[in-house]
Amino acid sequence: MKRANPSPLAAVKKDNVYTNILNPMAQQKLEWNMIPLRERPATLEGKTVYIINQRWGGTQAHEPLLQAMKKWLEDNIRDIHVVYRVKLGSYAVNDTDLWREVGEKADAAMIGIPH
Amino acid sequence: MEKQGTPTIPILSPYLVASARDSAFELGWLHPRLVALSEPNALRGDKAIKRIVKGKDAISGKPLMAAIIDALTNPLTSEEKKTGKLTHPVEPRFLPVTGTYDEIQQYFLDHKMTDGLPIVIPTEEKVRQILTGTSHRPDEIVAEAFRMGITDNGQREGRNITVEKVATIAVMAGCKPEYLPVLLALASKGPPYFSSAQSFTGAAIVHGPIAKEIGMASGYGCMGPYNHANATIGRAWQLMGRCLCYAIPGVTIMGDWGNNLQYNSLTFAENVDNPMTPWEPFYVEKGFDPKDSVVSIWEGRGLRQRCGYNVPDFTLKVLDNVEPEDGALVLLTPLSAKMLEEDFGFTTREQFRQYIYENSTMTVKEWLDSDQIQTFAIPHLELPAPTPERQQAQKAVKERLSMPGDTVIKRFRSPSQINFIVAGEGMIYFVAGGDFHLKSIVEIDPWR
Repeated sequence: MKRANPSPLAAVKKDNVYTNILNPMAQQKLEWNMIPLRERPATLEGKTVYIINQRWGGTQAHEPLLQAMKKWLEDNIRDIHVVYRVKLGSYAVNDTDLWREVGEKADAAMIGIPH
Repeated sequence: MEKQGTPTIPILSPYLVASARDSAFELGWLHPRLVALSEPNALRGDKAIKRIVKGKDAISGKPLMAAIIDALTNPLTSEEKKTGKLTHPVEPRFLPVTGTYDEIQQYFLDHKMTDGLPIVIPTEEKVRQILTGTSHRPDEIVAEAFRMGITDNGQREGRNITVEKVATIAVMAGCKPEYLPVLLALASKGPPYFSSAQSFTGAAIVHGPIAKEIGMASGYGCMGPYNHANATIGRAWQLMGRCLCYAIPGVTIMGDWGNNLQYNSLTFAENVDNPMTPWEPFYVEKGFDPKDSVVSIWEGRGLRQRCGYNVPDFTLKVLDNVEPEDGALVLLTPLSAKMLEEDFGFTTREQFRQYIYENSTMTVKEWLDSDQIQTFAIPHLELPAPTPERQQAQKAVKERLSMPGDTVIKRFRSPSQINFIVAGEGMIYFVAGGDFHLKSIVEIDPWR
């Protein structure tokens, strides 16, 4: 005699249903301000561009690439003035003096490079 | 620099794009302009550097340098000019789900709230039971912030962690009520490890009477998957990182490998009872009363082991890959400790500590090759040293920078960086050591 397969639904009905389950996730900050990007210059020709080495892995870890980028910009963009700077301390240090200098003197900037 | 008024872009490794977007969002940039290299550049040779400069931006697919120029000069879109508010959702006290055992397990997995293994479902009733393990109110704040990185740099942060939140995670990990004071003590100091490209793990070593009261193992197999308290306390601490810091690999957790020790956070008890142990327990050495119950919190990458008679020499060998600047944790069996005292004449911990300090060495070249020296020690020479200890450390770094590469130097800055714990049953002369540095020692009794 062939045995009927039990209905999968029957098994589901016998299962306990769990309710009132506490949430293990922490509350993150609820609300903060969106920051619009700064208006871009139409071109980098004749502009001052800062390249910042943020020293993740050490100063030498990224200097060759950042210097190669500096050279490329100087070779390919007319009258560009590229300033290469190594930030103060490790990547975790907030170099407020340098940020202020970039704000005052640079038309554009790039920073790198985390691993 | 954008805040100072200058259009700025980060240049990224291709493996950090998701993380950078997440951090930018946390800092307020919903539509950051990112440019990513075709491959990592750090410490690469000329061949790779030329290939990267001529290569493509991993995000847009444009030539790298063209992508940089575009990111710095293309007019802003209306989305990029937007102001307003960014938000995280409100986390309700109860999850918006009901279901069968399998459905709830799947829900926890899908919402990245587990370590991948099944959890005990934290129903209100289960959490109420586990809260009987402490006298503290469920709504009491244990930690105001829980973070695995630097929040100022955009790392996520859980806030106002309550006793109930810790109890909920304790249920998930399978803990018993009597374990809760240990977990609250751990939670008061944050998650087990820091998010780094390196794969750190936390370690929690319990000292004093509570270890025995709650049945923790300090002898046979204490670091193996055999003891309920060891296994579940360590698992709960790891789950705190997952749930309270939003730990997601590739987004908020950047360990290239992860670390298998993270599963139970290397959690065990110090063996204080074996009569062979000649020295006072670790926590008593640190100034606690033998009747106190405390948990010591460590962070590191792993342990190496050696077995044999010459325990002093083997201790040096298991420590010979500890990076400079890191502290060291040495684990000894009770028999190893006895042999150190009786056969090798180290009648105090301090004598053995001094021996390791004097004899654990490296060359200046090896020291210079260390990522920690290059990333932190050398750049930090430019910063003020506020304490005599920091001044001394800076002086040592400067001296080493002037030495020939083959000069032999001490691995550790001071003997105080070297710590010993006695654990295991004591049947064999065994030593393990690694780069775990002591972060804090927390009293458990106030959390009972």
